[in-house]
Amino acid sequence: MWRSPAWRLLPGGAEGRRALISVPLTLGLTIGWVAAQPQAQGIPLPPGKDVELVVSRCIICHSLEMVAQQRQDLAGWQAIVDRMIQYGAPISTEERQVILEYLATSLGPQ
Amino acid sequence: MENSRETQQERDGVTRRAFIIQMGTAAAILNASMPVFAQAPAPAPPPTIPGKEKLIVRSPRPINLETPLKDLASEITPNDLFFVRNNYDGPEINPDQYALRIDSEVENPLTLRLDDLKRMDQVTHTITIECAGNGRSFYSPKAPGLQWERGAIGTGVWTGVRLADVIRMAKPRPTAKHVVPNGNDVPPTPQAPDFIRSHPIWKAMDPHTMLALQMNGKPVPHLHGGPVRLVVPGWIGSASIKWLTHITLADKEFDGPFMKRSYRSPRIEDPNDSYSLRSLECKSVIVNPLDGAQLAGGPVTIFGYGWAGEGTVVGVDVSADGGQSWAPAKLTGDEHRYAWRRWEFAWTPKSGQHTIMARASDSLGRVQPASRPRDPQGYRWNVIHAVRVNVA
Repeated sequence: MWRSPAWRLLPGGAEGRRALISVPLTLGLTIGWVAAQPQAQGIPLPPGKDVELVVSRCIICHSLEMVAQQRQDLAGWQAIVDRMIQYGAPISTEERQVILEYLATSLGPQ
Repeated sequence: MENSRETQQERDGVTRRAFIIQMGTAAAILNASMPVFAQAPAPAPPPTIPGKEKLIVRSPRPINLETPLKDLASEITPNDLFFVRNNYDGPEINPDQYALRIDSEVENPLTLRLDDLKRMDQVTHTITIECAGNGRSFYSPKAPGLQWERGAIGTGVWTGVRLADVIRMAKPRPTAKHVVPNGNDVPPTPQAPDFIRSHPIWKAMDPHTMLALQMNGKPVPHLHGGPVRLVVPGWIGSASIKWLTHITLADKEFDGPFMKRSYRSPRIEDPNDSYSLRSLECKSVIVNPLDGAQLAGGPVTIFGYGWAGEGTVVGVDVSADGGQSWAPAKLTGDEHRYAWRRWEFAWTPKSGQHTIMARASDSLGRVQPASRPRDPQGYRWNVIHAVRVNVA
């Protein structure tokens, strides 16, 4: 079954020969891109000390624009992040807290 | 069994080829959206999607593109200007390997190829498709979801096969009360739910509800759900499933998260309860002049569109004084059962600042409101559109 290329970055997600092509390409693009931005330059997200964790977890499934255009309070972000975890986002309990803190602070209601 | 194995093989064939194309696209999109390998501190230019350069990219993955209001000037929205709303992306389908399965509560389960559909009676309808979340960004506080302004809407001339004809071929049982179309889009993880929504069979049997093979005279482009997409006219866009590959006839409404969690709004009579969205709202938009326009003076043709989903627009009133007085606009556009209706209003302004407003009313007795209560997921935004202009 076809999956969005970055899906194969998920644990256990690699499958068949398609993975052989897609992992290096996607991984290369993603890592190269993240590594090139120590100050989050070019990332469409507000700067913050934990922005790289947010980038690395969210970008597996969707573009960061999806995140950047939201403005939610903590409860709103909790609902979103918990649904993403339910849908397979590889986010540990500790990471969830860090991510929520970043989101509620940097992308809170205006 | 043999049939299903063949289908699986075909799908694999589709998948492999599409994958390679898709990787090219993905790489192109990534390159376009992330030209930031250098240390340049300047923000990256906004990404664009090939073939859709004029559209606003709300998200490059999944691809979600909004039409700027100024590019909705034509009654029929050209393919390169038509908005795109994808919950998930999907692989391109080779038309030669396309197959549509119709099964479950039917006497005659069947598989139709693209050629089979092309040989059936073809119909053409002009139909407006609007995303349920169009206008979400205007809610305050902000509702979660893509922050559409006014351009998650477009009107196409769709050609294809009546869904009713396909359903009749499959001989539905009396127990077939709902139609559950599924498309070939793919969730990014195994845990994410497939994008499936259902609608009652009465809507499926409406002769305007169609499997579209052509959009504005061209094979339906991949971004718009080709080679075959559903068009469920007058209903929120998510009913019009793209990359349609499977239609299940069922005795019950589908109960997945895209029916039970998303695309729902609070009931007026009981805000703690919600209902699954179907018809579009009664709504209008001003396309000319644009908000913030500097006008030279002299006569101006104010124009825009009104639409009403299952209703029909019966009138659009225009105010050029911020809502103090209203006068009817002239409905000038072609009338189609399920398309927006163009209207215009001749106006000779005095110099100074003016606020122009448009307010549609429909055959169901609905009138565009001046405000809208909170909608938790940001649907149903149809507040009267106001534009401010400055006349020299």
